[in-house]
Amino acid sequence: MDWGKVAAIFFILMALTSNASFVYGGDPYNLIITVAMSLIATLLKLGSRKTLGAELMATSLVADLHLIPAVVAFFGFGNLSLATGLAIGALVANIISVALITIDTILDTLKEEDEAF
Amino acid sequence: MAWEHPLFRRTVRAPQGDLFDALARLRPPLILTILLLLTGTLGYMAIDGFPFLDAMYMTVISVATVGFGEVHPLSRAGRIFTMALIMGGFAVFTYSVGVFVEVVARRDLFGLVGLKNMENRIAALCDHYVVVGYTPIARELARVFKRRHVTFVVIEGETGRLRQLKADGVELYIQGDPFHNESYKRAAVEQARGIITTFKNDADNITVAVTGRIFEEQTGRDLFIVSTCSGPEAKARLERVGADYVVSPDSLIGNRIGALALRPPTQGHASILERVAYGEYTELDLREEVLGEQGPLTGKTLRDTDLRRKTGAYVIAIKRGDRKARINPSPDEVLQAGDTLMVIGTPAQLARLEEHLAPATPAEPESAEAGGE
Repeated sequence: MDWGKVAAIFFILMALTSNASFVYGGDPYNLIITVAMSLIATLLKLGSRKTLGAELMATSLVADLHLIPAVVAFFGFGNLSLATGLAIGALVANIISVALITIDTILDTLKEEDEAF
Repeated sequence: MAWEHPLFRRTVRAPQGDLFDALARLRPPLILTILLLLTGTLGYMAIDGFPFLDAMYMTVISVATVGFGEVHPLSRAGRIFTMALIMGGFAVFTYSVGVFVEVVARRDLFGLVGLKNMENRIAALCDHYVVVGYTPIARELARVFKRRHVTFVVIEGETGRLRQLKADGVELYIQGDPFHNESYKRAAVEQARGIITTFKNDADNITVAVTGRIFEEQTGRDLFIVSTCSGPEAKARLERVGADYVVSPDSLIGNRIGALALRPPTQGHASILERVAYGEYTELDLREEVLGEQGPLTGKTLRDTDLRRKTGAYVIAIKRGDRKARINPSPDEVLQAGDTLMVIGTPAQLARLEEHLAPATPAEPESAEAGGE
């Protein structure tokens, strides 16, 4: 088992799922967990030189820049609708991020197979 | 051991000491800090019902061990949680400081940032030379290039030579394996004018020449490849694998010493001609120009070209085909396509000559004369 890979996918998926939970339930705990997971996912993508590394980093930054204002809107001004709206934006970015990782993993696998032959 | 996540494994292996490798070492402490803040904030919110901002503030002052008072009274469970948080925070803090010092001091983070900036500058270069290996010959070459303001990038991987290169003030270099394709890419070989290799070992020079030709094929851009060699056999091999010009240092040194022995210069002074030939006398320069079929000089006599008046440069010899060079040619000599003119002049005069010979450049008006130099 490749634990490094497990950890990386864990944080990226966790950012997506907790984001979806907040959008569905509007629970403040979920929002805080989402922000933390999203920041960790960004850290993991920082400096990535994979084929789609720049795209992955960009989507992660988009998610962060939606979620941090969402926290301010929710806890600072108690504006749930604005926070939810921003969280939906972050959710879209997180979905794209997971899709990109899937594509990148497939590309890498194909490349490795090519090299093996 | 560095924590790596193979999901983001690099498609191109980074050279040792890479900036991203160093920064990747900072990820674990940063992730632990975020997790600690998350745990603390959620803990205070859940245990004692703190508002978000107070919970986060309480977490930060506990982790930072600054000793400020509690923002709200803590329950028994809250105090136990705070103790655990402080201990966890101290462990993470100690670990983070250790990693940070290791990255900044041992892996020379600021030096790596400088290297990264330099590589960005190299990536923007065009028409430069890539000098492979900082050998003693390359060192002399670097001096000449610097004096003549020729842009060049050195590829070197050996620590001792890298130290020498930095001490010599070489501005642009790639710290990497001289026989690895990645090093050439980082040296922007796709935009380079040529590659120069001066290793003692012929096999190394052959490898560099072949690598250059492969890049040439891939990019479609002509590279002028110059190499040194150990003897005639190696010279033939290098020319066969694609080196444009192969120089034997032994033969060069022999010829130079022979010339000195036959016509010794004034004691303690190199002759002016020699200094011009080796680029040490920067106010005067020698250049060879090959005449094209459609060139403005082709078919004219040397007198009719009026080069001296138009450019200020002076033709001192003409080489035609395999024949010996005609030194100090007659003004009635008719220039032919394929002739090589050996011209002497100041850098400005030679630049004017180049403009004059360039087919795309419109002819200069007769008034633009430069004979006064």
